[in-house]
Amino acid sequence: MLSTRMKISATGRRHKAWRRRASIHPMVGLALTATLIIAAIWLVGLAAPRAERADLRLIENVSIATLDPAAVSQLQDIRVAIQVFEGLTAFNPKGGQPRHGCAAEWSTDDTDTKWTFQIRPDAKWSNGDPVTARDFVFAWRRAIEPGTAKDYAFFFEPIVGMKPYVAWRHEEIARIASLPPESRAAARDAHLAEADRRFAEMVALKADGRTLSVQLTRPIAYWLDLLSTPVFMPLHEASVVPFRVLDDAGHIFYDPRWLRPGVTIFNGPYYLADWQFKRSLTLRANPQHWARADLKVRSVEILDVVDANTAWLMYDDGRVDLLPSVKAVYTPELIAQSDSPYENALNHARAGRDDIHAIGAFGTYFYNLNCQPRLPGGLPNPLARPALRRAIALAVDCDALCRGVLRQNEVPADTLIPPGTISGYPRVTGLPFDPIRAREELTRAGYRSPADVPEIVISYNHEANHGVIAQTVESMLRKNLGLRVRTEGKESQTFSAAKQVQNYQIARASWYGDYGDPTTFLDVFTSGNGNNDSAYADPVYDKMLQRAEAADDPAERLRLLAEAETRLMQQTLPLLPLYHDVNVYAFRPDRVRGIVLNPRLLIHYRDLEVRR
Amino acid sequence: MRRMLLSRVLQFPLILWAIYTITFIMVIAVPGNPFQAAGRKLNPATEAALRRRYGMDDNWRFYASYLNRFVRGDLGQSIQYESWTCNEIIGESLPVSMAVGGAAMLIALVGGLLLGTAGAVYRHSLIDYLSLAIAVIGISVPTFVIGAILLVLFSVTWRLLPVGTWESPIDLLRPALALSLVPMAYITRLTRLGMIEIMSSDFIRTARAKGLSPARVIFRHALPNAVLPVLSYLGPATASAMTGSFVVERVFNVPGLGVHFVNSVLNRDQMLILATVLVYSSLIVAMNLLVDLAYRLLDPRMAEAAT
Repeated sequence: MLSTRMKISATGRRHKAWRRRASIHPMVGLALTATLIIAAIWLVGLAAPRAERADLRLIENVSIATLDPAAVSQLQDIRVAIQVFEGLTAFNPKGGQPRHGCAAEWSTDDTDTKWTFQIRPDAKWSNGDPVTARDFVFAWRRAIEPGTAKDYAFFFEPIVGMKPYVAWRHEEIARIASLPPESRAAARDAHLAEADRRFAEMVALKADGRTLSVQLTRPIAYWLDLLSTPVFMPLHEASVVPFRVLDDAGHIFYDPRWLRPGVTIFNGPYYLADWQFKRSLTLRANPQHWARADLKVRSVEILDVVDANTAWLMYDDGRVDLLPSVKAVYTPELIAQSDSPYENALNHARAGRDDIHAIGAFGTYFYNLNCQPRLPGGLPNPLARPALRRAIALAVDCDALCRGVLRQNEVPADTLIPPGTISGYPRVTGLPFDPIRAREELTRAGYRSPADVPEIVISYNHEANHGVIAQTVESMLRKNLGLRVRTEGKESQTFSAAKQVQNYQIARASWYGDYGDPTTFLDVFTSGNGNNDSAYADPVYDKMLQRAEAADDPAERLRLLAEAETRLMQQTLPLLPLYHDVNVYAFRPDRVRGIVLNPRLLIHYRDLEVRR
Repeated sequence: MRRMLLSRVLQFPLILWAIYTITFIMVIAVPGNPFQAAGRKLNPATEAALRRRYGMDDNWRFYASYLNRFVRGDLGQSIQYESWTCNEIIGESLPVSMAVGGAAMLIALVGGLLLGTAGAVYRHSLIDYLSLAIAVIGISVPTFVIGAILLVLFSVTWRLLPVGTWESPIDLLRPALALSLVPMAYITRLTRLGMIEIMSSDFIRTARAKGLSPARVIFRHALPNAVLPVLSYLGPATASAMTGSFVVERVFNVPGLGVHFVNSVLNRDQMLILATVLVYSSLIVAMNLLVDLAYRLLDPRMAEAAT
């Protein structure tokens, strides 16, 4: 009796409980309603009018990180920076001397060290202010000051007084930072006032209205070309200074928000109209620019698409006019089946689509060969022997690597500098593929048999096709030379960290030139250069470069530089060149007109015309 | 109930602090240098000045100053994308990821509940095996494969939608579909299991005996009781869906947060690593709190146990 009652009351409770719980039922209905609402939004979105398409629409594969002239260093950033800022000179896609930028004319004295630039009277900022020599001095100083100085600050070192000024600033900052916190502010303010005075006094950079004069410590053959790089571009002082931030030791920083559409003032043919992080960047014709009347492309939309296959599909679908870098997985097939109308393109299949253009780039893919006698762990490094480095270079068949493995019309390399990319520079030849000579060099290195050589490790970072290339080289060294070789893949940053302290034997590397002169490559291997990962120190090579710089005749200078490269590539081999890079463009030549394919991979949008 | 809520809210900063500390130690311990990442090397004095600009010249000071910033809602300035602050980067990408993730969870929830219920009601029938197949595919096929298949089907084969655009709300559909399969698979299995158990319980037998229609028995009486395990799965799943997926965002060109989780680590962008981890963990902790609350509201036994 009792138990029945309990059961009934239990059922009753449960009944009430699940009545309450049943209130979830409308939630399912709610979810369905929400689905319907979303479907409705989709339909509305489909019907909504799309924004007007820009005159030129293109895709960058890597997100634009910054357009700050002092900080720009990656190719995709440079490609945009040169549209919105204009230096004294401008990059010339046809090669040879750079074009005129803001400067109408320039002159130099007979020592080639004192330069005077006249800024065009019609050079204006996007707000209508005239571009003056002071804007250049402001931007150049900002580009070397501790805190804003970045990768390319060293470009300013040849200007008289720059190096000592920067050194003095670093010393003072260190001194102020060591003071007790309460006395820092006063010391800092005194120091910064002194810095203004010292800069004007020490640095040979004089601004007088539209005239800028610069004194260099030595003649620099490629000075005008240097001036076309972003780091030498001017800034509109009045609109940048409000974002200045001082720290207590005297560093001058800038709030990154100085660079925003609507805030920043530009002097290039275009201005930044819109910038949505990781989505798109829109440029519009600068109504104040001196060449505004000739501009056929009046708006440019740069889409940020990181996935290379998606980017290709978008191009192939006609959604963009230009793909400056095709990196889809089937790029080799695209190249093999296409015929570019451009003479300097590398793909001429005689039939097939005409919108793929492979062009040799200003960059080389190579292996650093560690030249230090001992590895950081204390073990002896067999590669310290130049003969072994030569043997390795002779045993690697770069031609087979390019044709069999890479298949993008890469140019097999036997030199550091891509041949034919610098006008007037003689053709340098390195070591050929010659296994018999390789064996002889091995003997010369002091090894009676390949088995005497300790195991050699090739390290690379886990990206792109570095692994496949390393395995190919490994098998070539094994087969042609009988060496014991192992490959070791590492995460990118771990790899760079190890490479920086020479904790490797053979390591993957590549180098792109910054300006149209051999020294942009050759300087890397001078003793003590920060980028000299091979730790190669050769007084003879250093002296050869110095001798070339002392030459009066430009042709003689290039000849001496070529001799230095010959030494590098035939005798000392701190690097094993594998191939010269190739960049693949996609655009229809009848639609996008005016592109001059060049190894530096830069395009001025103001030269283009788009017909749809 | 109130006491539970209070204690959970108080735990919130503690959990975040622990996560911050662990992440910070890992960020410092891992080899690599964000300032020497690309191409040309900086000279040491220039690098030291940059470290100072980011407040990273001393680990202890960096630890304290970043925590201080975070409390004030400032996530710092990205090192890799140096024109952007982490607040701007996350502010632009998190809403995108939340929209995609929200849509994905909605699809997963509706699809999973229906498939799971159907599988349980018609056990060992064709529809049960179908739901099993979908679940197995959803769990085992990686999203980059599903993403690529969706891309090919919608844009290349059927030509229904353009490739890689992020312009109209319809662009949500494909990434949401790709993201929904994994949670849908879990929800399907959890629902099916729960339903099988509930369908054989006494009160369902009673409901049937009363002569209620099968639909009413299933949707009104059985399903609400069967979804409780689904609910505890939903919290973390929603947080993870809403913070994006590296692969799906790449394939469909979605400007979401997912890519930053991977890229910030690859670039050693220490500011952005800390920012993304803190935002993600805040979301997870908040979602779990919400699930606990919902649990208590839906299951009176839990509420009774707590009081």
